[in-house]
Amino acid sequence: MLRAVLAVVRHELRLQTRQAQSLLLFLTLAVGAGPLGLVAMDRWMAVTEQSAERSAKTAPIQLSADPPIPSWLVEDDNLEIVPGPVTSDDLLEGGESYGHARIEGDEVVLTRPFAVTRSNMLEGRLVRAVRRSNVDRVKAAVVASGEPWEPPLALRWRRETRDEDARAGEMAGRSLPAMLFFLLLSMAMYAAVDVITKEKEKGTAETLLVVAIDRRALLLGKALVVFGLTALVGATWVLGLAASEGLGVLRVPNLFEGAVFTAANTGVLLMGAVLASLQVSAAALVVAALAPSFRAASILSMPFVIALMAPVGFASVPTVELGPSTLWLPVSNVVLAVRSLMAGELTAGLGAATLGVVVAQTAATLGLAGWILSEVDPFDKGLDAEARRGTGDFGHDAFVLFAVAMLGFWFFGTVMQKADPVLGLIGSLGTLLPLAALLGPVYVGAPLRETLSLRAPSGRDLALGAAMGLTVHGVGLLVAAVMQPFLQTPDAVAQGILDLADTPLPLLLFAGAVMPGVCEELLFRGALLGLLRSRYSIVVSVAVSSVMFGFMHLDLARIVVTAAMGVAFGALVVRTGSIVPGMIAHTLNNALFFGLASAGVASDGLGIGLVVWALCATIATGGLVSLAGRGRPGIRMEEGGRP
Amino acid sequence: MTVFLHMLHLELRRALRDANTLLYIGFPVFAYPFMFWAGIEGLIYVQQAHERETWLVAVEAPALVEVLDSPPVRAVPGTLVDLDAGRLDALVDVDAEGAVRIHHRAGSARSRAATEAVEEALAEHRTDLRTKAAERLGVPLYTLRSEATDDPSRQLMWFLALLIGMLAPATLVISATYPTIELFVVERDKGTLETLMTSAVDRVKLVGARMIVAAGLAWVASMANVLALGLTLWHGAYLVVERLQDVPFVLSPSFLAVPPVLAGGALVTTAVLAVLFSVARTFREAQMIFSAAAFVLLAPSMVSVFACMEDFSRDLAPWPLFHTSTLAFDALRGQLVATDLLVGLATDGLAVAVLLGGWHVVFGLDRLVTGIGRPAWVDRLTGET
Amino acid sequence: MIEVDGLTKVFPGPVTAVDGVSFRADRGEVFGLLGANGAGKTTTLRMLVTLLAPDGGTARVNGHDVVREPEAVRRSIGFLSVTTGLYERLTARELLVSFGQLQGLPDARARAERLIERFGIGPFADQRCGRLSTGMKQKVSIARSLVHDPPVLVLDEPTVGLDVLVAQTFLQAVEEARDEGRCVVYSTHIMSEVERLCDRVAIIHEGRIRHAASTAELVAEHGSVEAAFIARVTAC
Repeated sequence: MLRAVLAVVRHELRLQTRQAQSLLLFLTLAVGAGPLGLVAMDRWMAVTEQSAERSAKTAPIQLSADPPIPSWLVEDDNLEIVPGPVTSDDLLEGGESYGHARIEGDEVVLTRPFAVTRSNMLEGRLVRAVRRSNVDRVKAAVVASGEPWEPPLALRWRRETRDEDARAGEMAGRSLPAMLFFLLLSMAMYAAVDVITKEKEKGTAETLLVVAIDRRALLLGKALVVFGLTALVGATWVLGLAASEGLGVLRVPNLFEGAVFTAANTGVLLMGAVLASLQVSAAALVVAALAPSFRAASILSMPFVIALMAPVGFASVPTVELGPSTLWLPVSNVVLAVRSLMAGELTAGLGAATLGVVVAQTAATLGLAGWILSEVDPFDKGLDAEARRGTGDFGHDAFVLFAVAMLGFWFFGTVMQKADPVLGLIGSLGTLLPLAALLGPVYVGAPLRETLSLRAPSGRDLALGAAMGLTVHGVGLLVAAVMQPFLQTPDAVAQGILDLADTPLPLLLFAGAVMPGVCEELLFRGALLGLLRSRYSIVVSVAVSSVMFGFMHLDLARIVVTAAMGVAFGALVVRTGSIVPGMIAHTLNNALFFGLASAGVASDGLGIGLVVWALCATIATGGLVSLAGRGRPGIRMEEGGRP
Repeated sequence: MTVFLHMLHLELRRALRDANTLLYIGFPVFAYPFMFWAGIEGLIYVQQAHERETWLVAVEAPALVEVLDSPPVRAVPGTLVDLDAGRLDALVDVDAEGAVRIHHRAGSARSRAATEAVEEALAEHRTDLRTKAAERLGVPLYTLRSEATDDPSRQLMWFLALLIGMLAPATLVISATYPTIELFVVERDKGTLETLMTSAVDRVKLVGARMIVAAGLAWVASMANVLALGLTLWHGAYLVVERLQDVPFVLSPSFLAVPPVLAGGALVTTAVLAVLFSVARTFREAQMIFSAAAFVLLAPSMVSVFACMEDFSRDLAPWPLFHTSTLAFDALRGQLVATDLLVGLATDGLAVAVLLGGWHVVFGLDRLVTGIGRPAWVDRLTGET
Repeated sequence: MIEVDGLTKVFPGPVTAVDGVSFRADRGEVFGLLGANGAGKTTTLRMLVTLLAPDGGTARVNGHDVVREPEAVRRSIGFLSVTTGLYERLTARELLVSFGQLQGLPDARARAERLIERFGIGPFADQRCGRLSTGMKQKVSIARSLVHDPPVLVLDEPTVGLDVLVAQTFLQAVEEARDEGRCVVYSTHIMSEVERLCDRVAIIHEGRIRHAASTAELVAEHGSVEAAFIARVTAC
């Protein structure tokens, strides 16, 4: 095994060193973004500081004022009085004055436009001017009355730092690990794509896979190379910065108010680089394994980069510290531990706990990567998306459609509902979901009628839908009652539902029952279930589409109940071959909910009647389902023909 | 003209048939709300965690114990040894000249927060005493009251305009990359390039159609960016500026200038990228070039950030890429000057004409499409043959 | 050497690409798999070399089951197909040494030198594979597939895109391999190659073997392999 891994490592390294791009990227990341980048940043900060000082601190800002203008206002060299008065429009058109001041009793009233940057600065300066003049006048009066001007009236204070060295370490600890992570991410992504994805594209994967070598050794060898290159970037970057500071090339003290690269800090950063490389390369390998081509990898890497950089950003917030609650956040914990160590604040216990968590998480991520790599055979190019669709298989597309439709719905739906709860609900359900349900299948070229189960229902199908609606509602209430002690609907969601109750009943029923009934069914039991069934068995398809339906509702208490409802509606659509009974059942269920709520019947007040209702309706539906099942097998896509 | 339209149609269909293109355009719609949500939730969490904290401070000045011992600070006994060992968050004493010293550990966020709390309490105490003295001695103390001349909607828009203006050029660069690679580069290592170049297609029309489609997609993507960003910020604005909560959303009509401003920017960015990518043979190489060039391309964006802040936006109107930010800022906050917009769009057009026209005269337009004839050093660099 | 029994592969859709294919091939024999594009040749061979997992049936190579002992199978086979890629950044010599090492050969270098000599790779052995001509690449490819001296060679349409002279050299190499006692499975849709190389032939169409016989029998029955192929395929 070890020999095989070493052979793979040697092979991959030989390939990497043969590529000028690898070397170029390495140098860009390790050196260009290291010493060179920081020198540039240092110069840039110096320049902006100078210019900011020039414009913000020294140049006076013009304001107009009503007479009598107090002398302290005129004498302030931060402010310049210009003739007034001015109207707000003058101010907005960039007139002479950025604000207007007048004295009303002991109030200085500043009238100024909000939408002008300099006017905002003016307000800040005026606040300081007022405060200064107050102090000056109190002081003059106190001295004049013969009293001494001393503490506590003239209290002064200053900060005394116990750990002058740690300050630089802490400041550097807030920015250096973040920069380091970004560089490591770039290298890991590049290397992982090169050793996994590119092989698939170039056809060399095939050559490699018929070699008699343990596949685990093959993957481990490749993972080691990715990790090694990534860690090397990190180590070179850290050591390069340390050397630059040591040689006096880089003025790190200017950036961080002190020497950063002490032997201890350099060691800490090196260790952090190794840990971060582990985390980052494991994740990059997953992305590379999932991507069929270099282009797909570059698209996939966008959410990947965000997902990894968000915890880095979080950990860079000054007030966030390593502790029992932040210890668990992957990526954040390494950044925080490095910062904490550099600030001299990490206790041995917390350090050990963090290390343990990081190692466990990395092992888990590597395990996950390994699992995905073994499940999604990284070297099996398989059929590409178009060829797969050509065989009538749209299973993968269902997941993409779900992600796109839901993200759009959550985002725009929330925005629309913020504008108006009821109309927003109607608007978001009525536009976004049907659009997704129709455009999704059309874009991938799935047969629309079969996919969406668009078939006219028989009278029996309709009755079945109505019975199912009653059952689902009763059972749903029961489940909710049973789960009450364990899982509760968050207040915000409950409040949102209560808010709706103020609207007139017909509008409420339309927004809360008909729209969800029709539009949600069209997407979940129509497009998603239809696309899933083109690849998976009926049971898997109904289960997956129901879980999707559950997740649309976003809160844990409702996910379970709605997913269960999804199974019922899904079974109905599969059984009858038509989307309509599902729509009826769904609409009826929701209508009962809002109808009872607006009639003031509390669901938990129904007591024993609830049980009876649920049981009766279940028996009735069971009978109907068994009837409906006779002589009508579910329509399967394969039988419906390929597009 | 018909040929040109056919070509436009062909190129557009080619790009849209690739789900990656759609994903690329749609990505920001999902990314911004998520990032914003994650960021805000994280900050709220941290803030709440800090609000619940009590800072342990040893006060070695008897007169100040009463002043300082109130939440979030609790006065406890302790020495500098305790502070160094992390058992105290700060230690307050008074030096020989009567000045208060706040001993703290710079490396600790807790200790820094405690220091700030102590300073706040001391300032409040001093202000109290001075106010009383002023009352006793009959000295009038002024307070400042600030009144905004513009209504809250306009304030909200200013806030949104500032952020969107800052980010607009960056979204253009990001949005233009993929479509430009897709339309100009990807074909170079596929067999279809030969088919195309051996057909009697007018090169000017071909490059024109590709430019328009690439810039068009970049424009759509950047509009999606700006829209998603705007909605996200509007939705979450009150979290950042509390008094803007529930402020009605009123767009100034000048916001209509944002699409043309972005369109001009998209054309210029696409032209620059097309020229840069003329040395790339594969998607991969184009991406490497972009990684290197991104810093330069994003420079205007960084400069114009300061432009928005300092109200010298009008000076930047004649400069392509630089003015995207300031024109969008002015348009959204309702202070756009018509001549600035016209000058901006005209210079965008001029820049594209000079860039592509110059390229045509010096190298010929073929090279933009085929990438053939790149300098030998690029071959050596990529190591591919 | 190779025993294939009822091998089946179903792709999602579902599309049955290979439907109960059975055949045997022995030491010192070239077994031809003859079929049109999309007939199931490539899928069958990919299952044989462990690149795809079969959905039904069994296949044994050199006595090893392809599902249960994939590594032993891989040790016994040399595989070459029209899509097989070479690492463009490695020289021919490095490539051969590298694959020898990956196969775990203790004498990878010596082995590589012998193959370089045998296939006349010497003049371009130190050029990067990306810069070689198609013919040179094919020589390197077949040397690569023989680097670990496998008793079985699986060749999937290896001469597609080669000119007559290069193909000639290649076919000679296959004959040599057969004469050394290797078992060769050779898929193609080029009839003349079948007539020249193959001892026995199976005609595969729409995932099923329609006819299996010795080349001599086919020629005797239909006059030529091509006539036999057309007759068998149009019959179903």
